[in-house]
Amino acid sequence: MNTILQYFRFVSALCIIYLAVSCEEEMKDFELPVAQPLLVIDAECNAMNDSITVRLSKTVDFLGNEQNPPVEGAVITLRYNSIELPVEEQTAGVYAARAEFPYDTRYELSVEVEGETYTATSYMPRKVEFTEVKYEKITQNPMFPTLQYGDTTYNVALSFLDPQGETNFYRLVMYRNDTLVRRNDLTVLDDTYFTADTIHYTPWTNFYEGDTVLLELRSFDRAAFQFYTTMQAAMQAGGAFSLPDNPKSNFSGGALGHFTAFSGDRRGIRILPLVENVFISQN
Amino acid sequence: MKKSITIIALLSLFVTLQAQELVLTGYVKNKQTQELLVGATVAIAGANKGAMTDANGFFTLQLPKGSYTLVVSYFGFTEIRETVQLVRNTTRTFLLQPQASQLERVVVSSVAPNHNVVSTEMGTQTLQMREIKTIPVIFGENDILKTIQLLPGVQSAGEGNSGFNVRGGGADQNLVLLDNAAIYNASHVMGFFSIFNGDAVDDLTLYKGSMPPEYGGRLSSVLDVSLREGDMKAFHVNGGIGTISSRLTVEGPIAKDKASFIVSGRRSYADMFLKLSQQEDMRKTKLFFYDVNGKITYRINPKNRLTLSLYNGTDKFMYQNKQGIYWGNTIATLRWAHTFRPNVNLNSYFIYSNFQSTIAVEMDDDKIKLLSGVTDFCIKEHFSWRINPRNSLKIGFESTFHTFNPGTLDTDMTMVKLDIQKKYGWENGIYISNDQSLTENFKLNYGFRVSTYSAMGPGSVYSYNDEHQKTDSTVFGKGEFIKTYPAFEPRLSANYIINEKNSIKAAYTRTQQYVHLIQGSTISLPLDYWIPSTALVKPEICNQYSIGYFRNFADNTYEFSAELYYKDLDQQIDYQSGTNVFLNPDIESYLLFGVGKSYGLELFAKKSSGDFTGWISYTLSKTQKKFDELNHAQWFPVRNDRRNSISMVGMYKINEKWQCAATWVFANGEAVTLPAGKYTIEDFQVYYFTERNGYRMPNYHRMDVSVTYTKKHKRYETEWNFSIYNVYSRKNAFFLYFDEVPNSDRLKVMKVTLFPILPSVTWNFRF
Repeated sequence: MNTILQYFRFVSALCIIYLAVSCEEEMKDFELPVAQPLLVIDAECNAMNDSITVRLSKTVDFLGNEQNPPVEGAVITLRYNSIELPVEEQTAGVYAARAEFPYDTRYELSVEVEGETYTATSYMPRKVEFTEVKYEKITQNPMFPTLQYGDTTYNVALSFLDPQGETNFYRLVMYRNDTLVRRNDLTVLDDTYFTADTIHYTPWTNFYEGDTVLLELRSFDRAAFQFYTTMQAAMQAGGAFSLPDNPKSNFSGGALGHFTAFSGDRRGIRILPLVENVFISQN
Repeated sequence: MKKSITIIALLSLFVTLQAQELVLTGYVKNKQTQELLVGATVAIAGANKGAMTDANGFFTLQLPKGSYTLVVSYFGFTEIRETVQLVRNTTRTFLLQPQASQLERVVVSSVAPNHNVVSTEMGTQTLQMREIKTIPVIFGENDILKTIQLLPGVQSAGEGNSGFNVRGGGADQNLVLLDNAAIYNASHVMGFFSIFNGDAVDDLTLYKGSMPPEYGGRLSSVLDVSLREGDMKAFHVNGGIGTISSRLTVEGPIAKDKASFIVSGRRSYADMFLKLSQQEDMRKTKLFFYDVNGKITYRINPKNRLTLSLYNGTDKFMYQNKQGIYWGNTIATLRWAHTFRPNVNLNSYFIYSNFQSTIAVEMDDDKIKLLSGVTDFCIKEHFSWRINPRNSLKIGFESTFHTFNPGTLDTDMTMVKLDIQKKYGWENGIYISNDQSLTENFKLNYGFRVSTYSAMGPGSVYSYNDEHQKTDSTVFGKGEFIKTYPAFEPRLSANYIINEKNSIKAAYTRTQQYVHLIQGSTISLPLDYWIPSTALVKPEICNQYSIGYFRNFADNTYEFSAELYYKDLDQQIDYQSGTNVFLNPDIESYLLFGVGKSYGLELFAKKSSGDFTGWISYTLSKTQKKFDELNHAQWFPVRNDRRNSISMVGMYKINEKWQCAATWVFANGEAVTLPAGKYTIEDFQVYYFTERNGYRMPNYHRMDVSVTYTKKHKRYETEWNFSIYNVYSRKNAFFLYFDEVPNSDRLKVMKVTLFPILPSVTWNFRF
């Protein structure tokens, strides 16, 4: 799998050929179309910490420095297995509730705000657990093997058991020392290319000795997978390599954003000095 | 078929027979090499009458009994005058002496002085290599695909790119033919150079409007490139050393006047410098392209002629021999030209064409190769019969068996699988057309093409639900027909000749396309792959209507044309946003089908003789598409929808030694999708888009110049070419991106530009 991902890195390397001869500069007096502010719903039903969080806000002008304004006073309800759970406003624009969320269940969220009702459904699959989390010293950077690093760096390698006979969708969320590892792309994958039931995966993020790494493997439905993959494209813009579009929202009524119900597994490890090619597995 | 011939023959009778007239036919040849000259003019002195030799060097004139002075001319050759006493139907062969040097940079059109006015052709452009070689280009690498971008209605696919769009069409809607073989990727180095080596190319014709019925299978255009034939009399070597690549061509007789060969090779040498590197890694890295063209001509007897054309080219970028990418085309065409009578010919072609692209990655113990490509086996038969000077009939067929490989994963890793089926298709076309002069002033070219495409087994056909999951499958065995799409494609063009200087033309063309390029990017990366029409993917359809006014001035020194066109497109292909097109076995379920329209005005003015030659072209155009699933089902402009574009080309021959040329191009920016707002999901900033391709890149303009110095020695000739790309170093935007302003939530717009002012030198020789 690692190797397939490398294709994409390889393509980036090809693009560097272009950039090698190119130069860049800021364009002053650049004007973009101005859009009417639109409602954005960022809703997650998280079975790992038994919580649902909904953030309501509005879009802002692209080149401005305005913060996305929160949307207050909404009535939000989560429905599943004939349960109705009200999601109350905690701070301005942030709504939350707690409950134990069952797996293999379809959740429906409705948001009533400013005279409109927006609804979305999301299916939460059973959780998929890590079978192994380890880390390995990076002896070379496969893309630029001649580059030398000042520090010794490590990659995290993980394995999990992929349920067979169905298509599964995953997102890997990583925290380094309690800080979300910000990447240009979200690490989302499906199991289309895998034959074996155990999937080994090494995300391309460098860690250093002494780092504490927290890993979350989230499982969700296809709509969420499509949202995350299209969101990746919408986090960049410009013309050369892709035709961007808005992430595929699963809300009716024309709101941006998503509602995702996910299950997941969580593992933490601490990176300790390591003899090359010897792996330590920790729980 | 017999019926159709009868119908066409009956139509020909529309012309009242003029029995009193006699027919003068014949050939025009190069006196030195005995090569037949295509496009030579045979004119009657003192009368506005004449003919031009066809693809077989043959001409026909219908004249009353009498004595005539014929002026036979061909560009680059000394004109001859001969008097003919016409008392019965006569056949004559004229031999023209080449002018002192064929390399001489006289730039005029080779066609009849007023061919543009009197022929039924519309939206057609022919360029000679001599013209192309004079025009300055990036890195001094003369390139036919970059030169055609200077013609009206043809847009560049991007800065420095050899990809082109014709009248709003997609890059995959151009049929590029090299000696009649279809080319599936005509570029080197991700589009910066074309695969056509200028030393091997004879001439090219671009059909962007009325596509003759012998062509089909693509919606937008046909670019028909012919390779040169070797000299039948003497050996020649020519070549050149350029900034990017070097070339060498050897040609000569195998048996004098009977058989000849030409071999032409080219290789880039960026990686030669890597060999000097201190690091072993770099020394092992490969980064080059090469191409080799060969052509053998064998004149069995005056009635039979065999030619074998071969091409092989590869681009390779391999890091340490471990990971990299390589792609290329291999082409072989065997042509048998048979002459039954001087006015009846049959050309048979047996063609093999292969395009393959490979991405290889080797990491520790894992090896992966991703292969994709297309292989064609093709037979074409073109029969032409000049029934009389007023009717020229063409009948033929072509049959191609395609094998498409959208992606095969070749790996020793056991845990990875990828099941993308190869796809097979059988494409057929039969056609008939007649070029008829109804009266002195009214000409008609009419005919049709019946094409079929059959998706063939072995293979499975799937049905999908909205979630792209397979719901049903049908298995087909080898040789079984999965789905057949038949099509009737009428072609019609008419010319009303007001007088020998003015004419009005109109044309209608219908075309169908059965192969589609899936592009993951807007630059021509080798990750793009071809898929055929299948049970789920219907053929693309285009109906094009055009009218034009053609006018020549000052004894055909200046030619002018204005053409209007409207294209109605159906079953256009795009895919859902966010689709991973790369390595996607279910790509068909992600495809969207919509409609399109394109219309425009093209103005073209050319000065084609004298010391100063050149042209100005202006295009005003608009191209839009509409898909139910995209852009709220509203029309949106295609990326290459540039409203206005202008090209100016000027070439000036100062004296026998010095020649200079300059080009200037201007075009409105491409249509791109840029954000109108932003919002936050988790901690991520997400862009909000309102309209697809609703924003315009900044205008593009650029000037290039070149100077050529030619020195003739006793036995050989050398030439220096100095060129400057982007003379005033205009910073044209290649793409835009957004960057955060430090210590602020504000974003700024950044423009990436590719090439600043770029000088280059090329040295050429010939002996």
